[in-house]
Amino acid sequence: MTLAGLDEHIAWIRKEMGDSADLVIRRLKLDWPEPDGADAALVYLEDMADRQQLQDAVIAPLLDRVPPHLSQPADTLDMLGERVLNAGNLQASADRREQIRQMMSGAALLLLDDSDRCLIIMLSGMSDRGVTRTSTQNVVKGPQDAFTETLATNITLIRRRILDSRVRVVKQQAGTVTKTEIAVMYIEGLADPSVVAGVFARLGEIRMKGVLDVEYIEELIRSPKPTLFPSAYNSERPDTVSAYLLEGRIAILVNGTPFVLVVPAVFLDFVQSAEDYYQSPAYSNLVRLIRLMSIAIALLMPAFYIAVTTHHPDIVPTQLLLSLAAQREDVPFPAFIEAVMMALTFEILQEAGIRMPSTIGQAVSIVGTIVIGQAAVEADIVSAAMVIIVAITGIASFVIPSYALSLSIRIYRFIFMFFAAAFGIYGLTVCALFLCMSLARLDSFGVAYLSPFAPYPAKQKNDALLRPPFRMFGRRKRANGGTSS
Amino acid sequence: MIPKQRLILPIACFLLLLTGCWGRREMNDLAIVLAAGIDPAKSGFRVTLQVVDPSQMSRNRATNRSPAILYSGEGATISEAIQRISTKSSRQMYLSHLQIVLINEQLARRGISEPIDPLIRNPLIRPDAVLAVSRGYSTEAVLALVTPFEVNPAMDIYKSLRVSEKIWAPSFATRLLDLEMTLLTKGKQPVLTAITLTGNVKQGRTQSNVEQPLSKGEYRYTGLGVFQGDRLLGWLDEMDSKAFTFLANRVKRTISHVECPSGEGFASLEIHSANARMIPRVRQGRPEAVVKLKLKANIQEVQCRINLTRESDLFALQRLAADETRQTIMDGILHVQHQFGSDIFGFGEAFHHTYPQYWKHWSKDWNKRFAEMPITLELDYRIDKLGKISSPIHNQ
Repeated sequence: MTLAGLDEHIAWIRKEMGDSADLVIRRLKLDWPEPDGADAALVYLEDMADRQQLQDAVIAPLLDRVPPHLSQPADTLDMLGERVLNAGNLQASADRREQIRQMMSGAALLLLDDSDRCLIIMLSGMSDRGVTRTSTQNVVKGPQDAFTETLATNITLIRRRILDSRVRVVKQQAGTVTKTEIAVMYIEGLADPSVVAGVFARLGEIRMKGVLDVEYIEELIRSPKPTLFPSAYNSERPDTVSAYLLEGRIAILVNGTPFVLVVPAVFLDFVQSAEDYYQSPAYSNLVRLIRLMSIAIALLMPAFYIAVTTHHPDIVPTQLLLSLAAQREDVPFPAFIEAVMMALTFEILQEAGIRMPSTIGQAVSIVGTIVIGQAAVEADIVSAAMVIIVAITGIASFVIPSYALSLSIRIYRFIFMFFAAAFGIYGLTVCALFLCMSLARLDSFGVAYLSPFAPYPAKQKNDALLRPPFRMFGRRKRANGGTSS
Repeated sequence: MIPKQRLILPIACFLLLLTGCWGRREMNDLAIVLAAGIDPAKSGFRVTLQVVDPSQMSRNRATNRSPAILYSGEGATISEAIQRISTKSSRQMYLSHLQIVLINEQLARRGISEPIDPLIRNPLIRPDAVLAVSRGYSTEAVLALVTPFEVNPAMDIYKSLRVSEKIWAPSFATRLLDLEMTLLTKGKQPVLTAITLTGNVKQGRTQSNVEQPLSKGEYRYTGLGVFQGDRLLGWLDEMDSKAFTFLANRVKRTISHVECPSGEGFASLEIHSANARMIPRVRQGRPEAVVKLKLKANIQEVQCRINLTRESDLFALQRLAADETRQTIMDGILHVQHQFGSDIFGFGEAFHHTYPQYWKHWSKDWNKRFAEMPITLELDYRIDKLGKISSPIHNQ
């Protein structure tokens, strides 16, 4: 290739990138190969490649006046890669598409005028916010670190926890435009090969412009049966993901998001918290029972209140009925409207609390508390009992460790309320029955959603509802395809 | 075309509409009835319902409004009388929380099966509502009384019966369910407690009744009414009522006094455990019965000089107490046998179960046979606790 070749290559890249403003082309004049030297060009995207590294590992060695002494002439490109450059990860490629793709993820391209190949030097130095504390799945005791937006960091966080050569990391790209890097992690020998194959098959089917979060993946690889419940577990905790890998699950990491997807997932996963394993069994089990109770409260409490007060006041103890009736005396709305109004207000407050700038957070909570808690009751718009019910329901829904599950519970709560208002406890029962049926027919990569309870009897019920002490953990939990270790 | 499976869900939803369970009513459309009274009237019955005003049950109630409202309606039937009330009330009468039903004495003497029928037929009325006969006053008068303690007179009347039943042997609460079962049982007759008013009844109806520590008018449960079938025959006094509750095994705790062995004062004994068993026997083709009664008591109060640490003194007291109790119970049984001839104790039922062959012949004229039947009492009376001190203080 001649000098014209180098110019042509640069021109092609320029055209391909639409003469992008952040495209840096740095021409270099090398002193070797002797005698006349060579023309080279370094092409990279500004700030995608780490400046410091570029300086130290690439430009400085290239411009070094002391040429390497070679016993025999070799290909300059290979010689540069093998003997001159200080960078760790580099490869030679003649594929121009591949070159562009690598440059997009932060590589610098070293073009030489006498070669149709080029050196791809991985220097990705995108600023990383660093490993910080978890923000959505907090624990009091136990590991506090959370995944970050950088895939490499996330893989490292898991690798550091499981120092076993059987940990497999398979990288793929998804998104026709974003070309997002995805890593699938599992432990060879623990994960069910057919589930692993299933995951790759479904990942291969993804045809989207972009993948910006695991949710994109989750929705695309979930089972086609319609449900409001989450069918894949996602976590920002490396310890949780590691624990699931040990159970034979498969983790899917997506570059650019601190959330990691775990499949297959069953209902109980969303009820358990990492902390269950970091505290004494007695305490953990108490908390687990409280959590299950909270789920029931979050799902059923307003519906039950509506059903009982509007359809079956006869089952309320007389004294309680009298005090409930006293509170409702001047409320102009039916109990159902009252409940929907309060529950909606609560949802609005909750959404506002998440979305608003954190600096004005207090204003909303003060207004919310005063408006709902006091003014509405005093103005006889809602009864005090309803405020208590909605408040308890709201707090109970925060106990649910998985945000994804609490979202589905919030949706189902309204469905239950409607049926309770229309048909009383009978409607509530039928609705609950349909919910159980719809959950029982779900599966996640072949694992029944309600396992280990349905189908019954299950082989492994250890650590299903209650967590036994660790010395009683005979084998790994649950029949999820992963064989025991 | 929609697949068949897809159709199941919407069809199932429509099924919900066919159940007839559409009973939605808001709490502020209901008038919660806590007590009902049934009096005789020219047209048939006069039903009085005592309803709670919920706005008066809350913390910030207006003191000049009554927390309870009385509604009365007349009609040829009970249901008609109740429905007629809707012409003067803004809310529908809600009977599910009916706690107590009072029946006028005159009505009870004529027969209670008519007024009771709608109460046990209506699925909304709970079977554990208690019944009482208003003695000497109309039920309306009793329900109009303003009571201390409970804001709702009905709750006061109801709770008082429940509490005294536990700690005072002559009290006996009959639930709707009990009455229904007794009326359907052969060889057992029902009893209902009586409620009456004392003091200034007229002033007892005003708010001023509870404005000073001493109420001007009061209600009181007094003795049990003996029924023959559904008709009230007459009243048992306090001691006879006590005999009845002992035999009916419904004494949980009660108190009685006995004269000291030395004869100079009384000792008060609290019976804290009572267990009665009826054993029917047939001798020479005639019925007779033994009642085995086991009582355990502790000493509550001693007025006389007695050394309770000495065995002989304690036994002397125990013997006297046993004699006293035996006297009370035997008197009660004999009174019922001779005065009313109505088998409220259920001896007939015991014979029916144990000697069905004899019962076949006796059931027709059981009242007569019951009245003549010899009944013996085997009493096992034990004092097992002396209290915090053994002998009285002035003794030591």
